[in-house]
Amino acid sequence: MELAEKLRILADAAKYDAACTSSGNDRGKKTGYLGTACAPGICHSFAADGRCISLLKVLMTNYCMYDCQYCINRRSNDTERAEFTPEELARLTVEFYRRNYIEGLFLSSGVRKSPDDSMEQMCRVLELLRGPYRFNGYIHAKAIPGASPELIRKLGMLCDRMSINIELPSEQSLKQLAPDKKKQAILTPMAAVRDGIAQNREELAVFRHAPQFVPAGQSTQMIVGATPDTDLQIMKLAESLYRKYSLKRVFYSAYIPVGTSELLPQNVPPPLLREHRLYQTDWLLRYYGFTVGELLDEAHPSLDPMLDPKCSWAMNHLDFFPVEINRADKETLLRVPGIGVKSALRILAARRTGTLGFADLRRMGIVMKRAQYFITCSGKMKDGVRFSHPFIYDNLTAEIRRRSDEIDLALHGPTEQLSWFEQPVLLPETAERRQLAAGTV
Amino acid sequence: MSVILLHDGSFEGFCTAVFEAYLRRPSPDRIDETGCQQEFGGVYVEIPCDDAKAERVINGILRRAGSLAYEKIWTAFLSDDPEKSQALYEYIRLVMEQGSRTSAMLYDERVRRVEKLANLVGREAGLLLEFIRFSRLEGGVWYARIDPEYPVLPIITPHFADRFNIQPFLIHDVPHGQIAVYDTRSWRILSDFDLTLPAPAPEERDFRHLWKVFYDAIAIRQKINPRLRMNHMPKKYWRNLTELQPEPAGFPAENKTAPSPLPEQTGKALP
Repeated sequence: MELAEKLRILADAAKYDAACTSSGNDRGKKTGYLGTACAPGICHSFAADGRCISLLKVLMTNYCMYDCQYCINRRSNDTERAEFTPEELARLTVEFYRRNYIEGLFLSSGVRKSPDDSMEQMCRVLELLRGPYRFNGYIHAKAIPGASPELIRKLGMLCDRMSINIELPSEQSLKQLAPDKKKQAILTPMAAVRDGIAQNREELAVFRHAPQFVPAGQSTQMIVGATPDTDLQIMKLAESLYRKYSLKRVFYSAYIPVGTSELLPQNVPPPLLREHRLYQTDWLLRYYGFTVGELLDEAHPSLDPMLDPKCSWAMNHLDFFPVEINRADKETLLRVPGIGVKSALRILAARRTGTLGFADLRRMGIVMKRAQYFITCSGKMKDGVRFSHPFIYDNLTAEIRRRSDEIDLALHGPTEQLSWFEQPVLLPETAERRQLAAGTV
Repeated sequence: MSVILLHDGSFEGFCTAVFEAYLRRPSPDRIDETGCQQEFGGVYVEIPCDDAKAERVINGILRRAGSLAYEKIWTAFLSDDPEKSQALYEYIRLVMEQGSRTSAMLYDERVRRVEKLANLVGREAGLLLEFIRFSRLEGGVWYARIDPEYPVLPIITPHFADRFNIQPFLIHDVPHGQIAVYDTRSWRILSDFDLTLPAPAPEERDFRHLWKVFYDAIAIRQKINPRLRMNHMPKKYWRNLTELQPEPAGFPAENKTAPSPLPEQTGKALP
């Protein structure tokens, strides 16, 4: 089979994996070696779906002995199969890298014979890259559930980031849809990577040049919308993964119908808005000091589609507001809808040089669209703002209500339907999305 | 009658003019660049560049406000805004008065203007780290063409010199007529050069093709979103992106009509 053919099949087979970030590790140049890594990560292109392309994201092989129902590479699926040789893939990575097409390699694999066999093949590629090809760029490797600890250790010494996909948000879902994968087979290597990183940190404290184990940390991904799991369950799981397994990132991937099992949704569009709300919630956990318990509970297990989770929290806690811009501490500022980490830091720095009014905030580039309903400057609300629930709610949801009307119109109206189908207009805007795609911040 | 000091367009020249502005009593009204639009009745004074004077201004900024403030000024100076000299002069005055707290005073018009200039230039430099595409030429040199709005080579070249430290490369800024040359030891930027490019190496065609194959395969059909792609990857960069060229991807000799990431061959010699 031609290399181009293999590449087409094995990129196609890998494309549903969301975690394509090149972030988390700063590595300067090493003379005589090709490549560097920089902590915020670099996107190199954007595919027709608007997702960032940072790494050469491929599978080693898409032959697989498992039959996970949600997966396009499941044994029972009639699809084209291919396999790279380690040499082919190493060469391809380096040649792409030298042209600045990519930031490095993202390597995963189907399980052709056994988890250990797949891991050995992957290790071989990484050894070629780090050895003869003198490749010093970024590598994200996927550990195969059920692989031996020695191979996980070996892979971890060769890559920057490692991830093990948790796949589905609950053990019950996993049992139903991925009968070959056991919860323990996923969590055991995750714990091994965590412990390896911790141990390595101690070694590095003693010997500065000790070899590094998974320096960019580990991440995971789960599929959303394939199973009845609620947002509450999903975010609880994410929260405990961050806490217990010290993960750097959890990725959420809106399920795209690729399976035929009656257990799975058929012919439905991927739940992109839900995926986005989950990422917003994830951000609140990692950078804004929120806990899942504050945002979701048994009585309200789903995120509000009409409001972003921070607005939604604010609407339910109006007694917390309005917040005084000139006095509130950082944690409090971060709870104001529309004020992000950057804006909060700007406000803190600027108010040390003088008292801030609304005009100052606007001039500083603080986005007032949402924040204006929740803040005071020197004790005064912004002109024309009424601090009442119905007033704020109407204003905050005006845009999304207008847009959903447009969508309804487009869906049910007689003309020009296609453009709406092609563009998920509910997807929010660039900056955060881009960071999200790039895994920066 | 207003007095305007003129500098030669270089950063050092501008700093020299700032130095002169501090010496003069009364202070001049503005600083601008030689060749700017002159007003009737203004007195225009050409200030020749003097590295020693420029260095005193630079050291003053560094001492008073630190390297971040200096970097911001230097980056903003790469902008092509006709008001930049005056904006930066006012900013430097403010920095010398307020010190390192200046950058936090974003409510101040003078701070915001410079911030904005530096951000525009910085953003373009950041995008080029992503979107530059190199081609291997016969003989082993790597070549990339860029068409940026601002002359960002001084910002981006160090990144590539680190990353590709084993491969000699050229980055050609066509609109500004500059080229960054890296010979695996050090890099420099030339604005006076003759360029003759060898043909692309034979394997170039294969890897461009493979890259396009990957690019097309990785998109999820159910999520196609042209607007999102355009937001992240503005159209003005597309002309140099291998993955968005029609096949065969830009071999000027073979396909003259196809938009090509390589420039026309000029028949001139490399320095």
